[in-house]
Amino acid sequence: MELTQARDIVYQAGLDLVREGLVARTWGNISLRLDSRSFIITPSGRSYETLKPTELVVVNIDDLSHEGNIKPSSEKGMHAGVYALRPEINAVVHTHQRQASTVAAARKEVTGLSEAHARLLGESVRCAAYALPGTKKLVKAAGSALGGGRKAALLANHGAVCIGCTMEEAFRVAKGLEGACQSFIAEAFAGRYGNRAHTTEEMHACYLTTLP
Amino acid sequence: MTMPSVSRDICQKALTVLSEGLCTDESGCLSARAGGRLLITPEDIKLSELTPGDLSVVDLATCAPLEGPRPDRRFPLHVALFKRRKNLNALLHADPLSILTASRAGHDVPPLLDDMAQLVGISARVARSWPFRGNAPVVAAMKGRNAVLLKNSGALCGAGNFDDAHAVAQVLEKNCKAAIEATFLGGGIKINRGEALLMRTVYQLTYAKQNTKNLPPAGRG
Repeated sequence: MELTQARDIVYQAGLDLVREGLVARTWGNISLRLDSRSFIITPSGRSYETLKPTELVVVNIDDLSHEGNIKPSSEKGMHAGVYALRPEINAVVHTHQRQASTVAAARKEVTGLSEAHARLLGESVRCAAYALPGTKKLVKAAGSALGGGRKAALLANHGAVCIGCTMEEAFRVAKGLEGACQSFIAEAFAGRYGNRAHTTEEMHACYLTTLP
Repeated sequence: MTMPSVSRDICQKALTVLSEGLCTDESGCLSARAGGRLLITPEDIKLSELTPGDLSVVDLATCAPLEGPRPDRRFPLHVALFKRRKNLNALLHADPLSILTASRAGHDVPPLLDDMAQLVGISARVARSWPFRGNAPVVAAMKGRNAVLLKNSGALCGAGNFDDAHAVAQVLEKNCKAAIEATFLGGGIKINRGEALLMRTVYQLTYAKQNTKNLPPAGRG
């Protein structure tokens, strides 16, 4: 893909993810494959609202070296790992979305997906083993959790990684994951309390009445 | 910062936190340090109707209201925190659903998500005696942290500026949601204390500064 076009796509994706509440401030990161050897990624610690397309960073997939003076996201290794393992994938979005983060905090695999969610995400959404942000251990764990052609994985105590053949698909995966996790939490609530809550407020009220 | 710019900052941030549901018109309260004074939202004006001229001014040294309408009833707590924590310049009360539920549950909230460890601290403690027994227990519960849960009343979040205090409130809400709703899934698994401390230190020393430092050479401040 041509660099200017890639910059515009990643820049716009950042704003769209903020608008959808899937990332905020400087959290999360977004990348797009340029070719078999490199990708473009959001910089470290920069807010999506103040970022310029020209400040996105080109990173080498093999050795993680980058062009220019701006530091790429510290999660560049996880993105590179996905591009190396999955040649069909061209976009990676790492989010800190709320419902997925809740399931990631419990380190559970999201199962029992609806047909629509399964078509989008894969047969289930696994939770990658816990690892500190930016480490090789996290890169390996995320790659493993995305195995079996899956398009999303939870990152234990951290957030989620969503991938797609295009940025539009990665974006749809992130939104679909949020819905799938919301349903998963609601099902777990119904299983635990024996009744289905209509709202999150009802769930929290029930939680308060059953505290030890 | 000058008093007019601090006042504008408070009014702007009040609208933002309201629009995000982090507080309500009645429950919200924001304050900022301006030299030796405290600017705080008043008791009898809704946040959504606030203008820069409506803010109350309180003397930090004496805790005496100086100018403007009657300050929010919680102003002595804000004064106590600004006096004790020299790195705090902005405070805001937040009571969205999950923070409020956690404050009602009355249990300290552990770090279940790494951004909680980074921005809030190794836990969010509950000041169980609030609003009784004065401000000291709240100040003590917030020690080394950027937020404290006030029993049955939400949380008080603070930082060096309003953008960061706002982020503290957002992250605390997400972590409280995880702590509560993960119990339906068998329980959340907390980040161990050592790693939480490591993440907070790295965040404070490096990552938090990237938004102003990781710029092209011409844009560095």
